[in-house]
Amino acid sequence: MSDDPDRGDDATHTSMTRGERVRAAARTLRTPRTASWVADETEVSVKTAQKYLDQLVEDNVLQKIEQGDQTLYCIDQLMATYREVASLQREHDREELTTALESMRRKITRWQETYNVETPGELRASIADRDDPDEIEERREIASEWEHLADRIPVVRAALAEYDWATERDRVSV
Amino acid sequence: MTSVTYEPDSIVKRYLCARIDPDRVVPPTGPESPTLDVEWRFVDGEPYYRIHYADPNTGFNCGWHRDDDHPDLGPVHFQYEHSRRDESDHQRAQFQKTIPTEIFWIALDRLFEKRIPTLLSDDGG
Repeated sequence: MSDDPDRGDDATHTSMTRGERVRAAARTLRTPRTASWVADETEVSVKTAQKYLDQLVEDNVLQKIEQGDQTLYCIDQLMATYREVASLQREHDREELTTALESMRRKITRWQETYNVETPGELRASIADRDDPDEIEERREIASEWEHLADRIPVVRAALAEYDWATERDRVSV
Repeated sequence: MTSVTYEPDSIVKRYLCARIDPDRVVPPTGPESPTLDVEWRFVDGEPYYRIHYADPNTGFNCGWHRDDDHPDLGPVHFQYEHSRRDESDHQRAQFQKTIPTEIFWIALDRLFEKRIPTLLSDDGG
């Protein structure tokens, strides 16, 4: 190809309002960032970014951190996790959650036995000693799935731990 | 997009899979719906992602991957495979943005406006 289709970030986002763009971006802020950084990334004014970020702080989606003379915003991870726990409790019955949790744990035990390692990090490190590209690819793919399951298991476990309590509170009387 | 689902299911939630209306793709494809997989993870604070399009009608698939697969091409690469033409390639790619949503929209623009029309044109791009 004569030109490089990957040159330039020239997306137009015509279907989104500025507010939607900032709000969507804000929900991915794992690292604390200033309003002006978010404004720059989402191509809106600092004032616009600030307005939507502050709204999300009010809504307990973001946390505001004062650091020196800077105000930083990042995802409120505790609230995000509670929301995720509540969705699992509301959308799945106890049996579905139990079966999924067991299946995730079984996979990890099998990988630990197959590769003789304890953690996905150890499996990733073992790639350095391999030559076969297919085996490298397989180990990398499994390490990635394992990392995901290691994050996911505590959330599903938390959903199960207070399942009855949550279901009781989720009842709507009409 | 006609539907978006979590894969392998809504409990494990490893990645998102969107089904694309084949009538909206240029050049036209069908009758099956192409899929777009989006996976985003962080390992020790570093983002790893995969935005991958696959058309079951033609066997064409392509996407942007940020992983350890092709260190020679830098952190992000674009790869495509056209099984009927026996074509495939990996290329260096880059996004100026950092926020996942911005990267995702830029990737969608590049995919549908540039990559698919170019790679699937009659002369093969």
